[in-house]
Parts: sequence; C-alpha cells; structure tokens
Amino acid sequence: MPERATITFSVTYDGNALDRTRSGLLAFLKGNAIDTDAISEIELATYEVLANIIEHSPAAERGEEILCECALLQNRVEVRIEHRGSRFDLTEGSFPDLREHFSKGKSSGLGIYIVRTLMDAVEYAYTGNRNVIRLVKEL
Amino acid sequence: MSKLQYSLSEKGTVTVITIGGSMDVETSPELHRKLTEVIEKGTKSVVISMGKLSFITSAGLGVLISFNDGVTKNGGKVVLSSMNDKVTKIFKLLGFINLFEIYESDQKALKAF
Repeated sequence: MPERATITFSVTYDGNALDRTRSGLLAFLKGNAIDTDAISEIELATYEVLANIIEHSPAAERGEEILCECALLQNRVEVRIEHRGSRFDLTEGSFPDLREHFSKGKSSGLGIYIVRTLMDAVEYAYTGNRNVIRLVKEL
Repeated sequence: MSKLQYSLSEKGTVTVITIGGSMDVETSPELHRKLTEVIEKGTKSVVISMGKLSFITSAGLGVLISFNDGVTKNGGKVVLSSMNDKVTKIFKLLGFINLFEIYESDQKALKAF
C-alpha cells in the first residue's frame, strides 16, 4: 500500500527530545487531517514507547539516537521506533490487573499496558542488537 | 508543549487541586512531591480539577493512583473533575474511568463530600 506521507525524528536520550518529538508528531498528524481521537492515541502510545526506552536504557547504550518514523498509509498510521540496545520486548507479558494496581497504589507496567491497549497492533523484532517496535493504528 | 501547572485551594473542608498542562515523565515527579505533602498533612477530602490538563501519560496516571492510595489510607477520598474530552476518552479506553470517582464539574465534585 503506498505511503501518503512520512516523517522521521531522531530522538536523543532526554526529556526535551520527548517533547520535541511529540510536538512534531502532533503537527504532522494534524497537518494530514488524521482523526482527532486517533491522534491522541498515537501521540500517547509513541510517547510511552520513547519514554520507556529513555528511562530504562543504560548509559552505555545511549550512543546512538532513537529513530522514530511515522508513516501515513491509506487506512492506517504506522509508527516505527528503532534503537540499539539490550533486547526488550514490550509485546511480552500479561497486562497488569488495573483494579489490583489501583487498590494497592501500584503503577508499574502502565506504560506498556497503554501502548498495547491503544494500538491496533504492536509488533516487535530484535535484529543486529537493535530493538524495532512497530505500532499500528487503523483509521 | 504546555508544561505542568498546578495550584491548591480550599473550599470549606475540601482541598481543590487544579492541574493543567502535561502530566508526563518530566513533570510528574514534581507533582508527586507536592501531592505527597498533601497526604502528609492528613488531607482527607480532595477534588482534582483537570479541565486544563492537555496530556497525561503513565507517569501522570501513576501519580494519581499513588495519591489516591495515600489519601484513602488516611481515611479520605479523592475525586476527579472537569476532564476535557481528550483526557476523558483516554481514561475510558484504558479503563481508568471505572477506577476513579469522576464528576463532570468542580461544583458536582464538591458535593461528593
């Protein structure tokens, strides 16, 4: 399926880069008249993946910037996030029990829960010491 | 991107915490510290007014969960109010709408106490 438009961000390992990327992604999606609800979900899921990488990557693995590419296709948006580092598959594991989390004041695992709940597909591959995450939102 | 803004006020016996901007991984630790102070004061009745909140991430949700837990353990109650459509939809999709006590306006939230 032909791409309508793409945008690529190089994300450094700091919070300002998260804001810049989110801002750029929002402008790109709004500029291409993507549905408002879908924009909110893509915005949050992408943020969660990038924040998770930045928060959990050890210093030794921060030599290269994180690649974040968003592609608009005919009836879906795909976000591809790639970074060099230890293997971390966010498609693994079960969802947290939200009610138990809430009742015990716990918040671990919420980021991954958000990504997997908001996206229609989340795919993961690890190749050549690189984590590749693909998020798909159907339009 | 609008950064986090917050303010505290008292409406009778209820503490109203107004939050705006972004509750994300960068801003949530500051809010967490402030809300911890509120818990340590023994505050029992809290409305969190979220009308100006434009973006909330897992970090922000974690702060709300932790704060709710702290106040509840003190024998108190936290309710949320005035969420805009964007935040409401995210709460619904994630299932948080059923966990927190949520009111459409601050006035209705204040009547919950």
